[in-house]
Amino acid sequence: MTLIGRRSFVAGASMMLLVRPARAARTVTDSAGRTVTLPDRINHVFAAGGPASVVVYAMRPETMVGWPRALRAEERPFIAPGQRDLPEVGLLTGRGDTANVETVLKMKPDLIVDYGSVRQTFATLADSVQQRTGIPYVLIDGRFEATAASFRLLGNIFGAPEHGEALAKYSDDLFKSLAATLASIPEEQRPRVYLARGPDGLETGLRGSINTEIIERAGGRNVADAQDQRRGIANVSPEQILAWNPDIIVTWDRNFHDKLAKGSDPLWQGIKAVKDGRVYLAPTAPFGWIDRPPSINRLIGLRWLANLFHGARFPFDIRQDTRAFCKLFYHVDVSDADLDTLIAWADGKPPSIPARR
Amino acid sequence: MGGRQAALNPGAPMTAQRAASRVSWIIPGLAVLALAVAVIGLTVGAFPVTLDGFFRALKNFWSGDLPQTAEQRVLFGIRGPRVLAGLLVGASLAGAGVVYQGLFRNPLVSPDVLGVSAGAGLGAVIGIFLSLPVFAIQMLAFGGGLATVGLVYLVAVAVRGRDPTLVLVLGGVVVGALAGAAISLLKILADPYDQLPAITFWLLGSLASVRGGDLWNVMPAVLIGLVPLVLLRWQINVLSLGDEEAKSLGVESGRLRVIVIAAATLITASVVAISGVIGWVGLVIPHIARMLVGPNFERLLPAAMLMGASYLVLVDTLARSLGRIEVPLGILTAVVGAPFFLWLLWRGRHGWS
Amino acid sequence: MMHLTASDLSFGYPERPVGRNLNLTIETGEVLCLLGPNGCGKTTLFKTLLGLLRAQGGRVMLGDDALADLRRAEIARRIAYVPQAQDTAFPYTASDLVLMGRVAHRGVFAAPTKEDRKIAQDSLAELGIAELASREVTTLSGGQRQLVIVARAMAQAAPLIVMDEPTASLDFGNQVAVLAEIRKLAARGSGVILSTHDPDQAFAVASRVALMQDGVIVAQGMPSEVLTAARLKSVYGVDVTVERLAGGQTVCAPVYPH
Repeated sequence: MTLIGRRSFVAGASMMLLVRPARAARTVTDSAGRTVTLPDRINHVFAAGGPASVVVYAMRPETMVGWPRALRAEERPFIAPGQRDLPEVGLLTGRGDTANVETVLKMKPDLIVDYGSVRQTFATLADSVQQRTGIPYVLIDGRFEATAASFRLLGNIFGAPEHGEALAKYSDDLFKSLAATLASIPEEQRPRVYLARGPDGLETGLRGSINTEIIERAGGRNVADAQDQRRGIANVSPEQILAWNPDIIVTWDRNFHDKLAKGSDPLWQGIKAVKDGRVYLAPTAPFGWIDRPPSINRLIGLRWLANLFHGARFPFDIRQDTRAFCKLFYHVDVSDADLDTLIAWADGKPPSIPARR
Repeated sequence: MGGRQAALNPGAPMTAQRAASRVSWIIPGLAVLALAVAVIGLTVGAFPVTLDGFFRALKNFWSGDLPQTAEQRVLFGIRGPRVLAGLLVGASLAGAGVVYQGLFRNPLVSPDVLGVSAGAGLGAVIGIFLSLPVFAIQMLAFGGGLATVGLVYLVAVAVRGRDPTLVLVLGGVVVGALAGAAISLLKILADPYDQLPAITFWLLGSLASVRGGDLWNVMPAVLIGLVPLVLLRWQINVLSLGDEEAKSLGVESGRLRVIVIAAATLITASVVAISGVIGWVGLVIPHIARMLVGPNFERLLPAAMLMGASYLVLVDTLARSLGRIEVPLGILTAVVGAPFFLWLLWRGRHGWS
Repeated sequence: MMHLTASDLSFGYPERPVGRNLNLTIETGEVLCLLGPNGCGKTTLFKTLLGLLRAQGGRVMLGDDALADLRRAEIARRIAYVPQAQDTAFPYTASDLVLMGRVAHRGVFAAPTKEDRKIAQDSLAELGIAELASREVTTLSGGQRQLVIVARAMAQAAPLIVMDEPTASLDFGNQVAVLAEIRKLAARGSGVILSTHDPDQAFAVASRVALMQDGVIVAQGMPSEVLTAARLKSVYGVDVTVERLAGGQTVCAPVYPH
């Protein structure tokens, strides 16, 4: 055997070891550095929370055992028919645990996926659930900057590397074009934005929190800057918002948007964004465009916001781009009528709320 | 005569007219304090308002013009209603607290004893859960508070025990617990993104979203509740002696109790509807007021209301100036009120005066 | 001239009847002493006579009206109640407490008038405790508090007064003081009915005595007729001797076994 031949032999043998043999289980390292043993075939997946459910749906919808919260009527047209009627199974992590571990076991999933923070707390939770249930539990990094890498990892885990690569490429391209646009816009020219939550609009996310990072990503500046390293959700007073005087206000609460659009509320009147009419309503179908949950659903919202913030410098064809996004990520061909609904919604005219659930 | 007095007077010193004269300037003093606190509240805030701007705004307000500058908009549209709301809510909660403490002959009782806050909270939580607009949420809170106390009263009438006040209190505990359980259930069912934060913040109390219009809505109900309390002040004094003694002195205690509870509940439910659940004010302030002016309702009611007004505006000013973010009022009042309550309990070992 | 008459009265609590077939009268100007051991139903009877407890049978007339037909304020204008002084929950001043006796004379929405304050002040002075006016009642001794409540009943200006064991838990000096006041009240025209379990007090103040046992009045009449050694033995189960002193007073002394 020549030297080259031996090297090829070794290379070939190593390749054989890397290529998974048909029957044996495989291991993977998740975003938290945990080594998890996966079954060869993954047919049923339990998504541990809202963000994870969106990601699993995007990757391999046919494996989903349920949604954390049943779909609302206005969300259904944007979900593939096969997954529209999946049962409600509750949340395993995040705010308000409602899933019973026994219920999870009853559904016999091959895998539990969690998408979001990979800090020690959640890694420990993952280990604990995995130990109690015997079901492999992978924790995937949900930060914006890790989107592409997470897609690739998930492609690997799910045995659908091509699809994972397609989704990763979409995010890579989007971030690159955003970076290009923003390179020519200095900090002072970026609009100051307030993200209003709740019917009062007095709840917001502080700069740096996962709920509002989309603002900075899209090239805006979150006015809610605590400066003392606090992150997360906070309540503020109308006076504070007036002092900040944001250029743009974004919300997904219809009642709040309606109230501001009428322009008669004394608490909000003096704010620049209200005076200029730059109060925008983010659609929430099938998932929130800017949050709710803070997952990959925000990618379309990122395009939308960047266009709102910078106008023609970041073009956004709402009809084409949304249709393409829904096809790629949500596996659904959105009809023109439904697209019209979405477009009107993003323009401040949400569909009337039908009878609850 | 002197010898008998010696027999009746085992060495206790005499407090002469000193007590009466001290009390006579306390209430005007408290009024001045409330005014001063209101001015402080108007001058403190996140939006920079210069002293010059403040006076110009006052002048503008006097001449009746619409607000011209952002400063004036802050003062009239945001800070002004908020300070007024603090005065109104604080006064109402403290006034209702005084009434309840006299009615139940117990200085450790608060307006929540019959469950009005729990019921108002449940009404508001239902409103938030159904994603209703703010006005509907307030109406539900108001209605919930009234309905809860009405239910407690019906329970008390049905049970008809020997001691009417005890039955009322126990009924309040039970119905309040039920309302609390319902609230907890709704919190679990609520959408963690859209509804749960709003619910949590409402249950902790805040004056951040009070508008001028809210005050006009709530004023009539508060006044309607206040008028009978003022008119019946001496009857309420007698009622605090106990059911039997009150009856023997000529007071229709059963009927009076209904009216008094209804009035105090109306007041409480109205302000809780716009401010959320703010605890401890109705417990601590009446007690301090009683230490200052004595238990006579004629003096105690105005004293407690003035103190409550000042206290809440002070606390609210603190809540919005501690940092960029708002601290819910219920938290701050608890931080001050709970240690005070413990101190009261400790002192109470030696009697309730 | 006001009188209180109980005819064939049955009284007690809904789940527990206490007395039956009771007949009793008290008029202004006299002192009726209700004597009997603890638990014989004196307090229950008083509460029924005051309208605080519903009669279970028979009738109570207050003046020309049936008690059941009268409103509270009207009852309070005719008959006042001096309960045993308990710890009040709130530190009212003595003058405020006495002032509350005037509530029955004013409308529901009214405050005490200057005239009411004078009457309250006079009541305190009458009992010799005017200097306690601005003291908080929680700082007073038991005897002082009892006198304040008697002052309140006087301010109430009702022709009849019911006193439930007014000297209970008072020391000897205070007991005598209160009894002396009762004699003065009767002399000024009030009608007083008081309960006691000490026969000596009955001899000291009563113009008539009713002896009560197990919810029934076993004897009624002048003290000298009713309070005989035999009767007292049958009611209390102790041997006593009833003696007339040189000054004219009658006293009752227990006879201890040797």
